[in-house]
Amino acid sequence: MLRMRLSHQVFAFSFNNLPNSYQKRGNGLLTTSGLLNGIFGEGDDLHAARWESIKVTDRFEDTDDAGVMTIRERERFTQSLTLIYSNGTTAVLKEGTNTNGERAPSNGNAAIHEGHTGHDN
Amino acid sequence: MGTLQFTKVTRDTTIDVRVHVDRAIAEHEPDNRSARCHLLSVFGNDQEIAAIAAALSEEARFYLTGPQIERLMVSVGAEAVVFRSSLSVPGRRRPIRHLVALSDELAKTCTGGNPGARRTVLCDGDPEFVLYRLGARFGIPVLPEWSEWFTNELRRKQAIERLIGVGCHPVLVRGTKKRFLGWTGHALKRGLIRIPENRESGTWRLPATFELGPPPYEPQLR
Repeated sequence: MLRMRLSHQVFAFSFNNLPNSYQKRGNGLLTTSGLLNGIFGEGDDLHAARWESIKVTDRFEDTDDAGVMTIRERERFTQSLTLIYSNGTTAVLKEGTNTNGERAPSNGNAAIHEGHTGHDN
Repeated sequence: MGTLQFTKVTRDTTIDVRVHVDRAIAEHEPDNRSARCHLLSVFGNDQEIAAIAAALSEEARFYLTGPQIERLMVSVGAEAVVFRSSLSVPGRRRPIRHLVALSDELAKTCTGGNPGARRTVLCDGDPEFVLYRLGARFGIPVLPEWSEWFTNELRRKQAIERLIGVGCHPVLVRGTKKRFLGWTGHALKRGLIRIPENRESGTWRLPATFELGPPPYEPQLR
């Protein structure tokens, strides 16, 4: 059983040594509660991060032997991460557009999605 | 404090209900003769509040009067979210009924409510409050130190306008997550704002209550 901790105790967290956008069990609670929001990194990697929960819809299509197509839609929640780097680069990392470039590298630095680097608006 | 009037004439009878309004947010329709109501907070007795709730479900129109508001026809619109409660007042035998109605648009300004929204209705125009709420709604990483810059940017690009308010100073902010993210990225690139190197940001100083103070600024009223 985990040891109980005082809620008012101040802890020093360091998230830079772990891939903070790599999903595994339990990360969802941390992200939706805002515990992984804030300023991370240093130098060129200095960035502000904000997690949010978003609803996605999975769509399944089945066609039986008689040719009848059945469409099923399932709604579920997933997490999205928005990053702003000190040099002005921005990135939105979310499920559904996962490519190797979007997944955080193992050194803990968040990858930058090329499609979201900077806006001219 | 304002007044909300609901009138309905049927073949046999006429319903005329007037209740007190302590908070309201409304936005002029393009025809400028009526307004779309985003927030209504009214109180009255059992029958009055029941009549208002029934009228809201029928998407009825009301007449709103208040400080600096001359008899404005308002409607909360379809799919209004309604909350009702009772307030016990010392000295009164029956509790006062309280009703709060939110328009569908305002109800969806919660976190993740409508990620693709292009407009955000806010009950206060305070720079920190505006930036905090937009950050929470669209999931944008923002810092309290950027509030003044962000409000100036909203004004410069005419993306903020004042709404009609009773008991509050509401504003309408136009823009999407992509737009606001783009502004922030450009400002960081140009050095107008910065992320603190020591990773220590200030704390948000948000209004703790829904009290009416002086208007934080005076944007152009449509």
